[in-house]
Order: sequence, then structure tokens, then C-alpha cells
Amino acid sequence: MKTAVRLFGLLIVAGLCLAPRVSADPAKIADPAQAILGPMDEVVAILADPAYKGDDPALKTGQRQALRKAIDDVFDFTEISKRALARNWRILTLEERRKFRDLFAELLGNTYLSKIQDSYSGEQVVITGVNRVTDEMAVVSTGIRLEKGQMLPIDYSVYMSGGAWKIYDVNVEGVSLVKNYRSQFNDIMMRGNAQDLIKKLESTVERQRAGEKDAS
Amino acid sequence: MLPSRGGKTLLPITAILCLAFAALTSGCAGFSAPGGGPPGGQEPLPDSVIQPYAGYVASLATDSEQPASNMGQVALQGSPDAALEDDAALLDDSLLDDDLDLLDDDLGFLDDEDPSASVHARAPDPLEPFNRAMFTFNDRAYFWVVKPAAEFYNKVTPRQARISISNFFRNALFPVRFVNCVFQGQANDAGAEFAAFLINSTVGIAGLRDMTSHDPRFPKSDRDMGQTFATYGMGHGIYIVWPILGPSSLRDSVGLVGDHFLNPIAHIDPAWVSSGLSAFGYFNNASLRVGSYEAFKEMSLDPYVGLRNAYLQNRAHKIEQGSSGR
Repeated sequence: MKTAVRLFGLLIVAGLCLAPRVSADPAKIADPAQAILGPMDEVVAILADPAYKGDDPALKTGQRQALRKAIDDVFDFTEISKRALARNWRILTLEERRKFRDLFAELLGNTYLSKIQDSYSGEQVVITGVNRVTDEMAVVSTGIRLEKGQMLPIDYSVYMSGGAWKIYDVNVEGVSLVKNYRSQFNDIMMRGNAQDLIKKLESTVERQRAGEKDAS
Repeated sequence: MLPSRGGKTLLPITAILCLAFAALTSGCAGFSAPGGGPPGGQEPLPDSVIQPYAGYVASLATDSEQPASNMGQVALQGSPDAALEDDAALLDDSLLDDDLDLLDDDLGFLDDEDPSASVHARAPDPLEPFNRAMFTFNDRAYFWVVKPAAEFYNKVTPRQARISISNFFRNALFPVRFVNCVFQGQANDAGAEFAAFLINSTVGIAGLRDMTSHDPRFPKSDRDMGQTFATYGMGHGIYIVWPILGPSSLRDSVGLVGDHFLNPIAHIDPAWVSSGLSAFGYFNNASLRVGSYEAFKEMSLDPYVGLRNAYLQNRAHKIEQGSSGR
């Protein structure tokens, strides 16, 4: 079964390599693998873009912004926030939800992009399997080739939202990002309130920003 | 945030106004609003203003019909106020869509999540104060000792050599995986482990080269006795953080002791060679992963809780993979 899924994934990848890229084709929009592969190809293209090579920190910032733009459309940060907060979502007001979502999106985007930026070694993202859970839900397994034949496996849980596939969870080695954050949010909400949670999220994002400045 | 909380008293008024809007736009079938028209004394709104609200109001209306979502009502209070204040920004279609998504209180996904997997993805943590202290100890040990040492080691040892050493230790631990495959009743996987061990020990020069890593006939699995206990239906017991060894549970700790007897390196005499080798294998593996703990810590609001959850999720995943005989 698993090998069949893998083969199917490989066929899709082979098909995508041969077929011309026309984003307007509805058949391709309906394909969850393509929905992931499109933005990932864009990410890889930006990482490989010689225009961003150089020691100027402004270049790095520019590259990061371009990367954020590439992934922003395919990640459904509102859905991710909702799933990560689970029952606590109902406690937050609209404004709190918005603030939370925006901060969480920044945290996730930065975490995700630095992981890819660090491990990127000039290779493409490959689809290793597609599991259609229902008509409106699927898990797309991908791998980024690392040096010495190792793979960084990342599974994306996607759902159909407004005619497009959107990511609502990311899974690495059986660890769901949404569930991991849910445990942390839940712990904070049990000890405090929504304000404490947002404050904590804010300081985590701040720390991340500071860390990136040190690194560049 | 306090001002929007204070809007609680406005809730009945805004609810009535919303109902009136719903009737105006007649967007929701089978729903009749009291009054049935615009509130008295107010100018009828032009279609361009009302139209974007249709779905918005419909969602509020359907929401109020579901008794289960009454908790959500509290959270909704901020929005109708803003909407009725003729906030120009809110008339923007995209912003309104965004609001709709943010206002959606449907948590149906919780029912879809696999309840059986959660048994092994959960463990009570009554020792949390002790565990947190151990976590801090391990954190310091990593940043003060392991990381600097690994960085030096990485400088003087080529990556390929470190991968070979890691392969060697993994191959040497074959009995642990093999016996647990058998205990878990996975004969096919036991056979695959055995064949991989033979190939890697000979062609792979005592396991230094992993000849089977890309062969789908030899799936890589990390079977241990904790998983074996799990397949017999045993839960985690409680969550435990050990110094140096890190996250574990009562069940998995007992499993570690069992696996220790199956570990050939543990049987080497004298004991200092045995423990020295084990420590070196452990350190060598850590050297290949320098940086991942930092990344994990940076992305976490509470790294202790994050690590606990990641450990439990990863264990549940391995148990599930093992029992499906992948």
C-alpha cells in the first residue's frame, strides 16, 4: 500500500516535470500535490536566486520577505490558529483572534523558513506520497533532499478552502505542529488568560526576531 | 482588549439589529426576524452596504441556532459592534472575509482527530517540578558542555566519518530491534532487520556503511521495548525527564532497562569501556544534530511543554508505524 502511494507520488512528480506549468488549469488546482509543489518550487527558486546572494543584511531581509510572500497564500493561518487553540479559540474575542493569528503566522513562517533555509542544499522538493483522506482533505508527503542522500520529510495536511488547497497542519516525524502548539497554548491558558497567551506569543516572536538579527 | 470585553451589555441590542439585517437581506431561509424590517428611525441602507453583510449576518444567525456554540457568543461580541459603527474599513470585502474566518467557531476537526492514537500521545505529568528541573539541567548541559564539545568534534571529524560511526552503533543495536520485532509479532520486519544486519555487517564493513538505507525492502524502524509494552496495551504511566537521557515515561524507562540487556555494547567487559563506548555513540549522534534543539527551543513558547508533547507524539507515531508492520 505504502509503496503504491509512493509510486503514485512519483508518477505525479514525473507528470509535473513533463507537463507545462499552467496555473489556470482547473485540473491542477484540484490536485493537492500541485498546490504544495507550486509554492515550494517558488521557495526553492528564491533560495537559489543569485540576486539575493551577498553579505548585505538587506538582501537577506529582502529574501525573507519574498519567501514569506511565496508561502503566505498556501498556509491558512486562521485555520492553523483555530486548530492550535482548539477549545480556547472560543474564549478569544475577534480582536484577540486577529492579533493572535498575525503573531502566530509570523512565528510559524519564520520557524518554517529558517528550517528550510538551513537545510537547503540546492535540491528540489519532491513529493513522496499523496493520501486523499476525503474529497476535501489530503496529506501531501514531501521530502527535501539533504546532503549524503538524507531526506528531510515534511507532511502537509491540506484541505479544500474556497476552491484551493490550503495547509492547516505540518507534520515532521509524526509530530504535528498544530498539536504541539496546542499543548503549549493549553498549558498557558490553564495557568492564565488570553492576554497572557498573546503576551507570551509576542515575546517568542520578539526573541526570534532578535535571534535572526544576530545570525545575519 | 478590555474595552471590547466591556461591550457585553450591547450584545442583546446588536443581536436584534443583526436579526433585522438578516430579514432585510433575506439571505437565510426559514429564519424570520422579529420586526421584519429596518429598525425604526433609521434610514434604509443602500444595497452596496448591505450586500457584504449578508453572509456575515447569516453566519451569526445560524450560529445562534446552535445551542452548542453558546460559548462562542461571548467571543462574538466585539464584531457586531464594530460592524454597526459603519466602520469603513470593514466594508472592504477581503477584510470581511477575514472576519468571517476569524468568527467561525466550528471546532468539528476535534471530532475527526484519531482518538485511539491519543492514548500513547498522552501521559500525566505529576512529577512536573522535578521534570522541569531535569529539563533545565539538560538544557544547561547541552549549551555548556555537549554543544561546545560537539562543535569542536565536528571541526576535527569529517561528517562522513561521523555518519559511519553512527551507522556502526545502529548496526550494533540490531538485537534490540530484532527481539522487539519478534515480541511485537512482526515476523516480516524481524526478517528484514536480520537480513539488513547480515548485509551491513559484511558488505557494509561491520556496519560502518549503511547498504540498505535506500532499499524499500529494509524499512528503517526504531523498535524498542517501550513500544513492545505499548503493543501489549500498556500506557505511558507518567512522563519522566531523565538527566542526560532526556524525555521518557515510566513505561519507556522500564523498556530502556530491558533493551539494555539486549544491547551488545552494554555487555562489553570492563564496564568503563562499555559505558565509554555507549557515551561516545550517544555523543556522536548528538554531533550530527547540533542546531536542531536550538531551533526547537526558539519556536516554542514553553520548550518544556513543547518537548513533552513532541516526545509523546513521536512515540505514538512509532508505535502506530510498528504495529502496522510498515
